[in-house]
Amino acid sequence: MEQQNKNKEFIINYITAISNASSKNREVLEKYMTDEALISHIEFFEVAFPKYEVYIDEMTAEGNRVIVQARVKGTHMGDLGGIPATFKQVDFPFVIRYEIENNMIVSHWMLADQMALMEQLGVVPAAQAAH
Amino acid sequence: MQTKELADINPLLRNLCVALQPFAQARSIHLNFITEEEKINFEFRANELLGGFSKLICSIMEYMPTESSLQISSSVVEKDNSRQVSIKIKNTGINLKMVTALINKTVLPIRLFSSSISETTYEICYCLTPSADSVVAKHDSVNGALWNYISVVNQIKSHFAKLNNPVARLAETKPKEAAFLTSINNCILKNLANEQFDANALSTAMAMSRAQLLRRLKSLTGNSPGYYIKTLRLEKAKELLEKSDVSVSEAAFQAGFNSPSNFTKVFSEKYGITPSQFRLPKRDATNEQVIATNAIT
Repeated sequence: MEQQNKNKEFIINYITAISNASSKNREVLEKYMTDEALISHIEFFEVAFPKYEVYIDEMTAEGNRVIVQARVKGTHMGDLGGIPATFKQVDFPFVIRYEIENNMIVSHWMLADQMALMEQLGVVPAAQAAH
Repeated sequence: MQTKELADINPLLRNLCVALQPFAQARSIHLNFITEEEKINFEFRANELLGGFSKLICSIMEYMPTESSLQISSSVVEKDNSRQVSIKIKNTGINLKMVTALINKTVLPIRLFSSSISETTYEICYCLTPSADSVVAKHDSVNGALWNYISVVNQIKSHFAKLNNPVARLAETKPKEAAFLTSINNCILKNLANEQFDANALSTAMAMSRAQLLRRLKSLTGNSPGYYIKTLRLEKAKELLEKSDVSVSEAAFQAGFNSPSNFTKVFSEKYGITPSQFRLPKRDATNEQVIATNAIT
């Protein structure tokens, strides 16, 4: 129980730190993780949505895992997989599971509401997204 | 819908802190209430407000690290050309700014007041001027507030009963560990009146080394054997004070404390009041009723 609470505390501190960081670069991220896939994903997303923020809606810990239901808030200012900057603000939900060892994120699994993201960017019409 | 009642908010918040002390102490969180005003009277729905505050405070504590503190304070402020009661909840140890779950899940009109690297302050404001649609209960408000308070305390007790009872918690997922903890509890309770019964004696009685006992008990309860024995002694003494007519000294000796003064010191640290204060109201009313009565007077 104590370790689960410490893991939750670690994730809150990590999310607060990266949300408030001037840039989510490798130097900042490596303080919290060894998961290369997650580092690459955050760097990719930081280019498209510089200084994006993550807000925690719900959090659960079990074993060495912490599962977070959260929202991303940011402005689309860079290339996102071929979609040029739209300068639109986005706010969409995602779920991420972190695996933590010795106060470091060693792996993750994530699922984001990409339809909501595409809809907010205007790539997919709202009516089409609803179907 | 319950009508609004004109009452002082300070005793309700103060006694809510008292009611939540066991939960705070189980997490080694220092919880306290301070106020700048002797009385802050305004109209509110007691049940709604107490339920909202108890859930919010418990939720915040669930995210806080151990050895941190949570302070609730009340004051009257001038804001937007009106006088308002401002209730601030400030935690140390962690910045919870990004945990919007706390704000999204409460019925209270809360806002993030400030945050720093390891602190967060939330503010909840209520207008002191009676609103047009408010109705002041002119009768039975005392009984109403009393009922509300007892109801909230019972809700809190029920909600945290499992957290405070590791055997019940373990029984669902780890029955073997629950059985182990039960045998430890039985062993301690059998020797409770023996003030010499310590962690060494417990490890001998359980046929384990001290290191084994420490490792296993700590993983189950988060406490060392010595601390766990002291906790059970305190619970026994509290039960004696609650449910029997024994004196404070007698309760101390029956629970294995070597002196009443030591018992008073340890009891006060754990529950926030002295055994005598805890005991006093017993003659005429339950503890909840007395706390509730204090809260509305």
